[in-house]
Amino acid sequence: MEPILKAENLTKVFSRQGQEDFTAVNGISFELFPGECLAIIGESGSGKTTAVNMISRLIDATSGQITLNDQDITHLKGKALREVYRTMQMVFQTPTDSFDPRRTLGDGIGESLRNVGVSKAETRKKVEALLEKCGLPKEFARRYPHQVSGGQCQRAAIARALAIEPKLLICDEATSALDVTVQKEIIELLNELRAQQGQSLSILFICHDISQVQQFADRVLVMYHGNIVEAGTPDEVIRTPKNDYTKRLIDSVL
Amino acid sequence: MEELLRYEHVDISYLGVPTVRDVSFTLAPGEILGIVGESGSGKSTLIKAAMGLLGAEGCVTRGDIWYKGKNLPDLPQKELRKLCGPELGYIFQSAGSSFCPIRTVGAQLYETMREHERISKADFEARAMEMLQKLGFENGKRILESYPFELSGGMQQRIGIAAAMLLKPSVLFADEPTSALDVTIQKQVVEEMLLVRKTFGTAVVLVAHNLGVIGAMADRVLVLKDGEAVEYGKTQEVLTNPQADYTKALLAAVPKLRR
Repeated sequence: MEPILKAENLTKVFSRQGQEDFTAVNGISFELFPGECLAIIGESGSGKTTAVNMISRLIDATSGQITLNDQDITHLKGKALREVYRTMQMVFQTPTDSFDPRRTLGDGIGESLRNVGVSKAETRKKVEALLEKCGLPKEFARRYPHQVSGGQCQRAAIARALAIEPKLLICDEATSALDVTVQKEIIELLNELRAQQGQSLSILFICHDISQVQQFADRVLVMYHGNIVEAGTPDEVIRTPKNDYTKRLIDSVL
Repeated sequence: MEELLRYEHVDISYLGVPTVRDVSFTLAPGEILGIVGESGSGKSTLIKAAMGLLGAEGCVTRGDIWYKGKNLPDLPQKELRKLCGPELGYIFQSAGSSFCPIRTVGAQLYETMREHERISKADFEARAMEMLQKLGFENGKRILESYPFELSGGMQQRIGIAAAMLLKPSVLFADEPTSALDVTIQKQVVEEMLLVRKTFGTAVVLVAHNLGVIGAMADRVLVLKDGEAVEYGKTQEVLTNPQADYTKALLAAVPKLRR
């Protein structure tokens, strides 16, 4: 099976005037297959977010190559890059910040549909269906981000990401800012979506909570100081960690 | 059982809206009490009330908070200020932002001590070094000379604990002291707080949403939901045999590592 996403030797070096260069991500390579959920774990500053920001093209890679759906997207710009977001969508850490506070949730969710030329009436119908799919009443389309709880807003953010039926969903710490009961709901929602969509939805899940990853992911990569130090299924990595850092990470879970 | 601190049917409102209702608990010397609950359940409000940190908008509308025979909400501001520090210590969620960024750690700790007692710089340094050494810091002098940004997040939080402990309070309120930290560093901070209790016999009120941290540290636990106490008891009993539906849901939601 061909991977939906392939990262090869991906590197990001931040150059700062008067200071030494800082290598945030140091030549990482991995593949994500259709229908798979791949998690990246590691502590703050390990390079997880920089890695996904390069993959989602929010920042440019210093070197290396990103292949999405057989297309090299490493250096795409303008219209060609916008097309990429039909295949790949993101869910961010803080849901309320990822919506425009002056526009309703329905407006935010429907934006990507309107951008690809779906009519207003059709968009409204689709938005309502998406909200219901993500466990929210359709009336939520008329609410503003500040009128809903963090968990509800994250559900809306997932609905927005799913609007144009992407093949790859990138969740960057999508549950970290939420309470533990709400975290569980979001994980259950993502699991339901995976069960419904099978091979047509792959997830790249960035997280610092290894116990959550064990419940959810098929494979896991452990990042430390910009490198992938260990990879495998969550059970393998947790039960027989080979790297010292991974061992320390697992021992620290209370 | 000897009591150090007692909350009696405490109600707290913000701008007239009740946020905590009818909460009671006691704290014995050297005991660690964990307060758990979701965001907005009133955990932080509850401990801020004891220290008079509710601000202009919040107030205790009913009930008493007794500390060594004194009702804290009734104390004049000046008297309460005298207790805050030498009797009641406080650790904030993000220690890094509770320090002044442009002054050294030493200068800030000295200022805190001088507020409560007459002490020379040399005596302060000797006491600070002794405290840092007891709390397991290797190079106390370097830490006192550092600026907060020169230290890692975990180190800053540990120094926040050391700063509170310099005045040797009998009760230490800790408001989510580990939630902003990575899991490996979280463990160091938990160990540091347990060391504080062991070394000084300090009682701790620990606010956290992480049940793992509570399980590792607390003797008793109070579960809050929407400002009301839904369960209160020994940590082991509450965690292994929860009675309230909400506690059960909270425990079920915690992802457990299958080792």
